[in-house]
Amino acid sequence: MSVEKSTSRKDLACTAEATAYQKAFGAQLREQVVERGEPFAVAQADTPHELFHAMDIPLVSNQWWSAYISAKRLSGRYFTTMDELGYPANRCRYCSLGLACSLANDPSTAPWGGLPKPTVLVARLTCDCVQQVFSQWARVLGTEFFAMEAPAWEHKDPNWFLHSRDQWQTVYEPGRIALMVDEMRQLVALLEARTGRRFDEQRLAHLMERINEQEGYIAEAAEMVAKARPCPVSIGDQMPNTMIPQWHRGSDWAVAHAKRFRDEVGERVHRGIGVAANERLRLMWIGAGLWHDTGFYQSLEERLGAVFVWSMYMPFAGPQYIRDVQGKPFEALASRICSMNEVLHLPPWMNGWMVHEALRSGIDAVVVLVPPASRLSQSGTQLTCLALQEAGIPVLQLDADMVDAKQWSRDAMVSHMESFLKSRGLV
Amino acid sequence: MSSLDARLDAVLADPLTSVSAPLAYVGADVPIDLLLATGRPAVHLPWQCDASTPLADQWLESSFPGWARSILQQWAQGRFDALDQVVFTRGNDAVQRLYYYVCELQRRGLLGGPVPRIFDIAYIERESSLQHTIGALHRLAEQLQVDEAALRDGMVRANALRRQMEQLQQQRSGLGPLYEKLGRVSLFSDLASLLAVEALPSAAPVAKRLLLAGSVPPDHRLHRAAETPHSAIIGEIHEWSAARLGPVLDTDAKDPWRALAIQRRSAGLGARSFADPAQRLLAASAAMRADAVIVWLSADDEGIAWHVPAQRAALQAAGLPALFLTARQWDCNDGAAAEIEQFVRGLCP
Repeated sequence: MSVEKSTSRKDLACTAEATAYQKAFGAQLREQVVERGEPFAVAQADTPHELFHAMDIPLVSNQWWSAYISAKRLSGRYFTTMDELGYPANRCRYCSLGLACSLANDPSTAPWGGLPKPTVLVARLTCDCVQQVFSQWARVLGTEFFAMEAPAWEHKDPNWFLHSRDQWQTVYEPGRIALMVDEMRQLVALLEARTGRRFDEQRLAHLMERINEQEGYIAEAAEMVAKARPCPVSIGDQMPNTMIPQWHRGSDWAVAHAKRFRDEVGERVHRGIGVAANERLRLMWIGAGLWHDTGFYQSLEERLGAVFVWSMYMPFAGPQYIRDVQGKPFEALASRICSMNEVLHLPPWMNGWMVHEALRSGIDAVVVLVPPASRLSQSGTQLTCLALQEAGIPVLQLDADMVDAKQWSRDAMVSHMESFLKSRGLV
Repeated sequence: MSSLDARLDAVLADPLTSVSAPLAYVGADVPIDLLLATGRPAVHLPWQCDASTPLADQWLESSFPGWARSILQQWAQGRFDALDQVVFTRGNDAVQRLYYYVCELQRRGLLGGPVPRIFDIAYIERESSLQHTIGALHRLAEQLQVDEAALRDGMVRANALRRQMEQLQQQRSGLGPLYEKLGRVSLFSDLASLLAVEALPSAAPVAKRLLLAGSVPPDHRLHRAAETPHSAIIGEIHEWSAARLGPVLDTDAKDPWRALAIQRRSAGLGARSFADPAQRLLAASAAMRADAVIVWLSADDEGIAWHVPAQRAALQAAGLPALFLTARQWDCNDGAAAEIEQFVRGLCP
């Protein structure tokens, strides 16, 4: 790892507000679940968080908890624990840091002293590892794992993102939606039985409308970023202003913050403020965020005028979150969740959307993260690279992991990127 | 080499020529009863372990297993053009992704060949998932033009195969590589006709009966390494082992669709199964009267890698010697054979 700063520069005032809110939320969550022993759930990012929000049940998302552990610089230690317990080296690391922390069972160093027993763990079975990780984690925590199916998807529309808002019944298939609705109702029944709280469908309907408003602001910001020259907002600012409100989607704060972000982006566009002083190249980042070195995204700005303008988190808000509810909040919610992973990792949805986004955003070159030993994270990248190249866009694949910094060298990767851009005559 | 060995090798060298007008599938939990209900032979798409795969390598990422790479390579070379449909399962992550890749490559005109179908099995032990699998069976039946009466006929044929595989397992007392080939041939050809022509050679029972578990091996090379005058692999428990066929089905069941759906869910041996993997390994060891266990896991099998600590602890508690070879190369060219030979020598001093 390079000695350079591993975090990215933040240009927007609202970014600091978002991170401060999340920090306060973390403290509040800890108080709720650790100090007061309130019921809470642990869930994957691609599960219906809206149900928990509608029931005021605190939710620890696995991805957020992993990032929290990483931020405490404990990931290396917990991965070593997994080695010592005999888990093979080829295990997927992306979703398992929380399990590793629980297995290490060291309250003196674990965040929050370790997770207390949650009411339930929830995950969609989007790969072969998820059910192993969550089943074992549930056993370690002495609780229940509520698995959700990730059924096959036969309506293969490469332009899904054009129809997902109002034709979601067709795009995501009635049978798939019905299965997820069935599962969500069972999950609600379980939560009601375990917590004594009552679910109100009207409240879910209201939440869905508020989420539409929130994601609408983010989609507007994404549209501005695609059109504006120079790029007004780095992906280092895009990610927290999209993702933190999304953890709290539909809340008053989240809606207001999304609006604030949209307005700040608009202001920067209006004033012609760019991320880099000499923007010459617009880059696209495909894959999860490089959480252990977000500063990497800005490493070529000054020297080459190469600016990462696109990462999936912000542009995803429009097509994958906004839903015309059509009086069917459960079904609309199911259509949001039932393909959240698939559209980012399977053809034709992944390549169809990525090519569209690259063209819409005036992308000059694409960098694709290809994590080793994770079929899910790698999935779809080869066909997406080919489709981008067919569209005339140069592509560089980086073999690196989004959470494990062991094999990462920023200097080496920057040199690699620079050579690539030079070889394509872009700099 | 026995003449049966030679006949098996001939089938395995070019599996698709051994049957006419087959219906093909990919994945161990595809309902063979439903495929056989069409009246046609059902064959798994074959793979070649040591052949290069330059076409597939352009499209598949590094974490795809070798067999998937080989299947896509052959598909691109037109070797499956005579087939009309191929059924993929959703019950295995690599297989279900391969289905989407094939569909996309066909859409973009980069691949021809048969129509890909998917069997959308749901493994969660809930009624909603079971109903989903029943629906998937009905959809597949419609695509294959199979009705309930035909399904019952298919169950009769599949039951015959189940009984035959069970009988073969009970006879095993040595000749590990030969039985591995028989198991593999059962994926591609009519085993009954082959064995009707020529009986199995007899072998003296070995002193050390070994169970092979973990990933699906590419062929019989691990069996060959374990074979000595005193030891042999006498059983396998992995996704494509004979147990994949599940128990004999009641052909008079009131609702054969539901019976088949339940059987498919409970017989699954892959990473999507919710059965306790350590208990399953112990049960297989007991049923096969194994003296030791070899757990071989290829590096691309990231799902079942999570079973290793529990399986190791269970075998240790049961006092069964075990060799764990984890995160290994699929072609076994990483010293796996030598490690097995050494392990076996330790068992048979």
